Amino acid sequence: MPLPKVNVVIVGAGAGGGIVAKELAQAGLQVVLLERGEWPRYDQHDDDELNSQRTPVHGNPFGPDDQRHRRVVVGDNRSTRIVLPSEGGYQNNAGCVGGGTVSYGAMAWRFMPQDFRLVSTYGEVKDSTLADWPLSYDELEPYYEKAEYEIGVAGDYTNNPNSGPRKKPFPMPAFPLNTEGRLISETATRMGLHPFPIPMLRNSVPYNGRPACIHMRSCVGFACPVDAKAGSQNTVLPVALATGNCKVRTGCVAAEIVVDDHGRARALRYFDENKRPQEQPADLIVISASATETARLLLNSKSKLFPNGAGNNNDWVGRNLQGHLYVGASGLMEREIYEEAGPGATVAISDFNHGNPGLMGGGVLANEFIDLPYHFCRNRPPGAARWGKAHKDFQRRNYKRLVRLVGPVQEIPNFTARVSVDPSVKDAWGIPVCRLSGTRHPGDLPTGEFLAEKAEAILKEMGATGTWRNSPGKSLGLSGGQHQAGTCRMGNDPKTSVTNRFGQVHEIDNLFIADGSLHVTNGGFNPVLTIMALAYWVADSINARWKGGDFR
Amino acid sequence: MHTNPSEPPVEPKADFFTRRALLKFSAATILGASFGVGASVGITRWGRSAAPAYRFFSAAEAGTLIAICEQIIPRDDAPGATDAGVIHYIDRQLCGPFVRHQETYRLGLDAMQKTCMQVYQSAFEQLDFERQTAALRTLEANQAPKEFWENQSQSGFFNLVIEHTRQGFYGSPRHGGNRDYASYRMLGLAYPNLIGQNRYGAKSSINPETHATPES
Amino acid sequence: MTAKRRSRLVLSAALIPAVFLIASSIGGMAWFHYADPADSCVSCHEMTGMHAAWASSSHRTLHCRNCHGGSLTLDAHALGAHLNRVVQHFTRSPDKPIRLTEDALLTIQESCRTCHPQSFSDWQNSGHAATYERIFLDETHNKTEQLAADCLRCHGMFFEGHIEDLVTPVSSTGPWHLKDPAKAKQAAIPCMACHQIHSPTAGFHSSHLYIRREKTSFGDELLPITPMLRGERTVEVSPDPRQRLCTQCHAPNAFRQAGSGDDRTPTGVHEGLSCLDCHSSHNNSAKQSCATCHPAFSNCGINVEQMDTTFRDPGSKHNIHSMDCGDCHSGKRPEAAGTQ
Repeated sequence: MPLPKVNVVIVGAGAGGGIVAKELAQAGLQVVLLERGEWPRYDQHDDDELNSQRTPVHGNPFGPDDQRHRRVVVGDNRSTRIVLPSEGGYQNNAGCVGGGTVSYGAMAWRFMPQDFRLVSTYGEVKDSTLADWPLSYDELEPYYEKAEYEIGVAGDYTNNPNSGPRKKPFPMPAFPLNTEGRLISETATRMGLHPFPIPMLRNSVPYNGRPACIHMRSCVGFACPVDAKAGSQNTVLPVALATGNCKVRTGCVAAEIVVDDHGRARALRYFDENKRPQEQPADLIVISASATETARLLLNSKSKLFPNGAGNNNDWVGRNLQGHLYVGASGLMEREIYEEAGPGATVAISDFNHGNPGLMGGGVLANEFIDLPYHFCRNRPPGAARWGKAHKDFQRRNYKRLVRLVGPVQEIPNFTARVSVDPSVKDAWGIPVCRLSGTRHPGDLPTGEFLAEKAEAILKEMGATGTWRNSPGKSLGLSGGQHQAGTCRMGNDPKTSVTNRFGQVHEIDNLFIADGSLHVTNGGFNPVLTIMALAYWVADSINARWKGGDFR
Repeated sequence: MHTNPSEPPVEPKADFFTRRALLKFSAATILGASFGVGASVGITRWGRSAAPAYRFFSAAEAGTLIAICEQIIPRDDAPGATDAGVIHYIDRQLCGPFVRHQETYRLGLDAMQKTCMQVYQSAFEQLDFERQTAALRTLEANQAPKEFWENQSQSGFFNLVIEHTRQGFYGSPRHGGNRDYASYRMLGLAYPNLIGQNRYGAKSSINPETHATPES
Repeated sequence: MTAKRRSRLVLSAALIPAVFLIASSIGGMAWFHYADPADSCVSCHEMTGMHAAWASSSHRTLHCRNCHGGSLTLDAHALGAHLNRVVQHFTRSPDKPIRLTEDALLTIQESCRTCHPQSFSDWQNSGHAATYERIFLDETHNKTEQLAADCLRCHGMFFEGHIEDLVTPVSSTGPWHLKDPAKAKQAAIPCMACHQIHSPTAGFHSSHLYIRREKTSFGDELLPITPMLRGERTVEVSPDPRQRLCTQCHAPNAFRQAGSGDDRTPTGVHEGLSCLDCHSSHNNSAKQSCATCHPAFSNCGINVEQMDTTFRDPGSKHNIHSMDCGDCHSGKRPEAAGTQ
């Protein structure tokens, strides 16, 4: 039996869903927010490296769990294998209230103006679906600003000439550079580059009722023990709940968007925390379940008008799966530079995001987060011992000497890198699971090699000995991961996109998307602030139209 | 005692405490108490099986695995895998989050022993350190006799042990390894992570002398 | 059937087995209660480690029941607990070692008091005897610093649950209340926060810090010596292992600046002293401690016993934790007291 109708049902309480819930609840709409995970609790896993979202040795601490979830990965020779959420290849993000924003590193990047117009800047790229965004940096700028102020970003762009124009400064002062950051900063400046402190969704001073960062070394991959790291769960969701208009239902797994014969999304079918099927009718449905899961839900929602899944009559849902190829360089300093104050990543260089000769795009370089001892075992130059006394000696001698400069490559989207649903494999709720296939675009490799070379040059100039590149090599692989994006891209032409510029699914008026799926391209930056800005943008458009009497 | 013949005879209460009943009660009490003591002694004797050293491994398997782990992280002036109790980490996880690896260990350790018996005519753990290293290098390169490794990839098994040994040595002590956080001490990493919480010099409303709040 | 027969039947069918059961429970329990722990408790191998530690500890002359109470009291609750333990022995997951509940721990604390009345009363009159109410419902604190999971690292470290289960709301707006009002008057930093009673030297020369994250106590000699800075300069830190335990909670910020955060590492004239050189271990009082080292009148003519040695104001020049010679003397060696 259907539940009582509400105005809006939102699927996914992560970076996008939290903001939309808050904006709509504040405007007076009755909102139900469905989340498959639970509210995160710091001391369930505290600072245990083997239970970190980065090294999920004993399973993903912030979900999803290995018992009930799986995906199918299609390999090079069309062979398929089933992967669990804590295994590589699953392209996991997270599954809890707050989503990835609970355990992320919290870098708060705006994409650059060029990132929204890559075809206009670079021209078409062969075998790709590269396109301009249907909205510009200038249009999104006020929403970036809103995200920076409402969620809370600490930063300072005085020394960053490459970013797009901003009307207001950051709401919080930047974090100080650590020893590694200072060394990189001095060196890069000497080389004519423009290093600056990384903007962070983390309180550098008390802000919005939450305390300042206490600089844990275990930060990325973990929840924050004092809530200084800003995420949906400790910023927008408490505000949404306080309006009295928003209900968060945890442990609820969305199964299908029910689309009627007039092309309207009528209700959302889901399984509640007791695995009982439920149907929640609503005037409006917003999906913000991450690029992989949003696509899966749309594809699993077959109806008379949309036999291939909601909004998928042109076969664009699930296409263009992107993430970030991570490249960079590592080196060893003569003296110990390790600092106890975490999380470690403090300095960035944005000079290589665009204008690199012969390349489409580029990426931002930043020094790395502190690696905890187990994760550090992987930081080795090519050919180094994997075990025995030599491995132990490297660990002991270099744990506090390692410097790293890494960054995400702006990927070139392509049609074959995709999420579909598997015809036979189902999850614990009997819902067909994601099937991941395709690879990155070959054009990503030279960009990656270029960025790694630049990073190594800086480390060498800094006096690091025994530097080595963390370059992409020759293997393309499939992208996604925590930076997954692109599977329901926005566009003005319904034939080559899934939603319009406001995240509204073409042909289904009252179905919206608000997460990384919308990204036409994914920037050379960590994407979360763009997901947040887009969520504000989508919510704004919904609110304006709701006031005008639409959707009812 | 006068009784009305038209009414059924009323049982005198004293009948409950006849000698026979008293005897029964006493017997029940004595027997009960002895049974209780007996049961307690019995349960404790019965439960007193020698504490098994491992949850998953047999003593022989553990002996082999300890030697492999010690090869991966040998003792020098800092503790090695054995000192840090890596075997207990692996043993515990195999009955928890690593249930799916049980088969790999069982087959892998067995194949390892058969390999060593054929190649060196000795158990792995009996070989001297250099020979053990050589044996593992062979395994790493998938060069051990194929007949023992039909159901189990050689390098796959060894890589798994490498990962698990690293986890047991460098992970949190709460999982059974990293005894006395040996690896953190080796790396010079302060543990427990030490961070003061009084971040803004907030003056508590509690008077440190009297421990009373201003209102009280 | 006559009524007499019926009552006889009732007697034999119900009462006698009942008496038998009660007697057997009491008998079994009594044996368990009074037997040598080596024959009773320790027959479960889950207990062997704990027993071994106890057997070499300074408390080895005491029987389990003397301290533990709770499930080791001779009562129905204990019977339930014992039976439960037998069931758990055969069913529990190997990953779950037996741990004391916070209630059991507070019961034991009462036993501490019986034998160590002086230490106990010293503690009771110290800041460390703060109750849950004092720690978690302090309005000024809660408005300035939002409650967080990390509070439980140093207060309420034995609380079974998350901060959200203890106090609500977890925000800086309040009003705050404890979800379980019974916790209000409980000690938030009980004896076992710093003492491991089964340790060989419990309470004498060493202390053990209970680490909530690991759910176990670590001896102070295993705790890290924190390299401390004053500006760029490395501060000399006392080698006293007991101080490492203090520093775990009276900790500096992540940048390791002496005097930052909750840290009180002495710098300046008192640099290198251990906390315990001035503060008594249980009441933490530092009263009269100056006179331990200083003559009543120091060589610069100041009565150290009447000096304002406040540490509450971080800007105070008399802050005893950071005072330098130069704070009172302008670069000159003071003249001898006698010449004044």
